[in-house]
Amino acid sequence: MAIPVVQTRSGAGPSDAALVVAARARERWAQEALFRRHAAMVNGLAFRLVGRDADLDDLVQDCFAEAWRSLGRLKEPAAFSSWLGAIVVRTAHKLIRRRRLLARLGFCAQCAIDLDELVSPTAPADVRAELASIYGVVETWPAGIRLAFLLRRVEGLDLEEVATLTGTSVATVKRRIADGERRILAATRGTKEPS
Amino acid sequence: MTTSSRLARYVTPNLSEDRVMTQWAGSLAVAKLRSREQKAGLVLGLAALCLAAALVVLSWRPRTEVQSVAGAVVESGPSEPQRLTFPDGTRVELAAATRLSVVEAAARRVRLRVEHGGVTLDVTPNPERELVVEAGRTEVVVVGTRFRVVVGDAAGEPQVTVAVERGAVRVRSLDGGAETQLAAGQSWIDPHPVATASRGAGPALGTTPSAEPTPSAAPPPESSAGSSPESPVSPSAGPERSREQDPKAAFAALGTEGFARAVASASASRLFELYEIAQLAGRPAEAATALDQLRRRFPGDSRAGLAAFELGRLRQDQLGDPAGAAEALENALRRGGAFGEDASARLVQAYRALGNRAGCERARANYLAKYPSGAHAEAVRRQCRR
Repeated sequence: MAIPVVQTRSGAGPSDAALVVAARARERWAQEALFRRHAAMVNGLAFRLVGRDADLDDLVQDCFAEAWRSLGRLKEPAAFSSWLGAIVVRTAHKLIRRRRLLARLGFCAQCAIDLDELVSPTAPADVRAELASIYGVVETWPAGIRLAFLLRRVEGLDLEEVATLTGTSVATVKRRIADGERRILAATRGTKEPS
Repeated sequence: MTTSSRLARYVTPNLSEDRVMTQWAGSLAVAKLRSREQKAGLVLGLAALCLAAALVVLSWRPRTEVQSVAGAVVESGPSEPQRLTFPDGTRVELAAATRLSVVEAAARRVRLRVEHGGVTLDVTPNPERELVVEAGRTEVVVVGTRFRVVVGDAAGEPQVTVAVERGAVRVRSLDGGAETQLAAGQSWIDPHPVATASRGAGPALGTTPSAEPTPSAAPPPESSAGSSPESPVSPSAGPERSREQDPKAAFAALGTEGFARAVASASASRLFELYEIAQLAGRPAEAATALDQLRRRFPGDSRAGLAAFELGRLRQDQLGDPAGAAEALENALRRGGAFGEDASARLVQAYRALGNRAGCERARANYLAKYPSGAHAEAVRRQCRR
């Protein structure tokens, strides 16, 4: 599959906005350029939110499929990246809810997060320990709390960004992150997590 | 959107060029497939999730009750058939303008109701639970089969029709009429107006006592919505809709190489989708590859048995490969469960086509021992003769 050269004199290539306009006109090269440009971001974000490599390909395909289908509704073409990030969060939300449903029914034996698969072997010990404390417990959390918490603690986004990506208010984001912190603390102390 | 978090830097997936390009091709194919669901709007939404939850209960060995899904409703659009596939291979296909509700979703019984329109169910048998479909004054107890329930809405036409394509169902009246077992090729008609029939409604409410069902050996009538279960594209679809729903377009987006790459890295669910794309696009060889990968790479998946059976059927009917068909059908039988009777009968045919008389006789004896009065018994008895 040949990738067309999409370069400008500056070497930066067309802006996202220009590519979105071309992609809306059914220019396949522009679609592919957008995909190329954002594939790493989508893969990384999706991987960190769902925590399992086995779910990644389906999730990424679903996210971009949704983007291609609803590109016409994107109001600000320059904001393609954030808009795509919100699609990743919504799609991951659905997947996590489905996994929780299966887990409740006792049918999700392979849903557990494998820390060795998730965390790079080059991670320093303190990073690994922190990630272990988070990913060791998030699988049982409600999806909304999990996503807000991971976007803040693992992605390092500010509250407004988390609110935008999750489609909630900053107040809700704060409450969910605080809830996540309480759950982490409870797990560290060995007390029962809130349901 | 970028992340500069220290934690995020150490949580990144392995992304090869092949993997990214497979995702790219897959996104195009999925977008084409999903466009049909998009057109159906939000009708499925949560209701579909609820129905999925109900069917999760019927798909696996039940462990718990899922009461909250009772009352969920799934509707297809006025000109838009809808199809749902569940983890054990059970398929529910709603013809256009169909409304299906979940009356009960408990551990050992799931009860669905066709309010109007037509529904085709291809159900993987599970002795641990009972699936009942009701329509009008009629209820159908599923034994494990493919059948269609149509609620008519035009004056002068039968009000509820049940048509069995494969396997068997038990049909009875909700107000206590006699029970009838229908086999493949038979249909059942209740002429009573649906509007006067509701659950628990009896003569006291002014309904006419149920007549005895009318089994018929006539070919099953088509759904009033006119959609073929195997083809999500309605014959009446306009050019735009046909293009968007065309599985050939989805397959073309992947290309033969892209399809092979997608198959190599797909999850079990995506393999099943890929199989459907290829099959509907008229690419049985590629469809067979997806099924073969599904059963080999995910032997513990609930669809593996169905994949083996379907692979045998494809090799036998479309690929002219009786040896491959026999291997896949033997594999399906070892896995047990779904389609055992059909797989046993097909195995006899496969060995016969191979000229393997010993295998043919063994398969025939196995079939007749297990299903002495089965749907294929008569045909099987005639096989393996010199």
